[in-house]
Amino acid sequence: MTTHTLDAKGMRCPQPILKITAMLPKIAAGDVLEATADCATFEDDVRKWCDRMNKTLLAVTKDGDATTAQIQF
Amino acid sequence: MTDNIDQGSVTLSREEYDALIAGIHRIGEREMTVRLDIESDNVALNGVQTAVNDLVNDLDRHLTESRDETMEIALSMSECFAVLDSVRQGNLDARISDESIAKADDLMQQFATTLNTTIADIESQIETIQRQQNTQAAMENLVRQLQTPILQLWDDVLALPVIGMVDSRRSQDMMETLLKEIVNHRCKYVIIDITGVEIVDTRTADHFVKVMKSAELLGTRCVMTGIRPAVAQTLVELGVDLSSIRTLRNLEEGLRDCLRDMDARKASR
Repeated sequence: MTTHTLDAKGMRCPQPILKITAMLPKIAAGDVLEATADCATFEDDVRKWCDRMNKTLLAVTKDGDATTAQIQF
Repeated sequence: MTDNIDQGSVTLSREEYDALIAGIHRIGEREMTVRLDIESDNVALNGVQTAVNDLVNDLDRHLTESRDETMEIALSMSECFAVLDSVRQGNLDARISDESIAKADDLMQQFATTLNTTIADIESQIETIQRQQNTQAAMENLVRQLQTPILQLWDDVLALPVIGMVDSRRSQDMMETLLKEIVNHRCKYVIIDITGVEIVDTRTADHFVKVMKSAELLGTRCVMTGIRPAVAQTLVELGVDLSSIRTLRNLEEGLRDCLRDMDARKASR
């Protein structure tokens, strides 16, 4: 299992979601993506995305304005 | 000098003015998640707070609606990406669901529908190609079977008439089929008739010798018949050694030879 990272800080929603989407072909099933963003609705958006795409949201952590979502593909 | 902000009939203290400006800045910084909440008896200030909060509420609602629409497009695009990725990995059953298409806006609906149709077309074309390949394989199998017809000429006598070119693959098929039939029929004589073979080179001759020697290992007596004059001439010119195998002029002579041998064996018992 490989852990990939995505830094989407400074991007407005739903740009981070589109960035996560663009990584779909590069990430194998079972791998984890740690995506960090600081837009206000990132957590809500990433939950919707995981729900629609049948991916597992492992954890959401906050550090100041930044939110990091761990998604298992 | 007064420290009040006087805009006609609206009068704010310096503190009230600073709090108002700071609150408006905070609304911008926090992406409209906060509202003005300055405690004051000043009717003018409270009126401004209410107006600003109403405006921010309206803007927030519009932005949320707009963001939700954009988010829906992003989710639809994600699904298109996922379906394409799945197709790339060989899953031609992948489709964007009708439910997702219904949620998408017109352009995304059109895109998703086109994508689904394109995948279905590709799947259909692949199925057609697979059907053609299966038909071709069945035809090749049939041709191979027809290339190696084994006939039972008499009790204990099998004949293998050979027509056309004999390459390594056909030679292998001939050997496997003939040996299987020898075992099945428990036959004692095999006639390989090459009347239908117009061209024989050293390799083809070698194939025949191998087939006959293999048959003899199973206890059969092998005869080759029907060598054409041109073929005989070529074999001599090529220096092919057929001394180890019995050759006769035609199929009739081959059968007579087998029957003679059969009678001789019966008489000697």
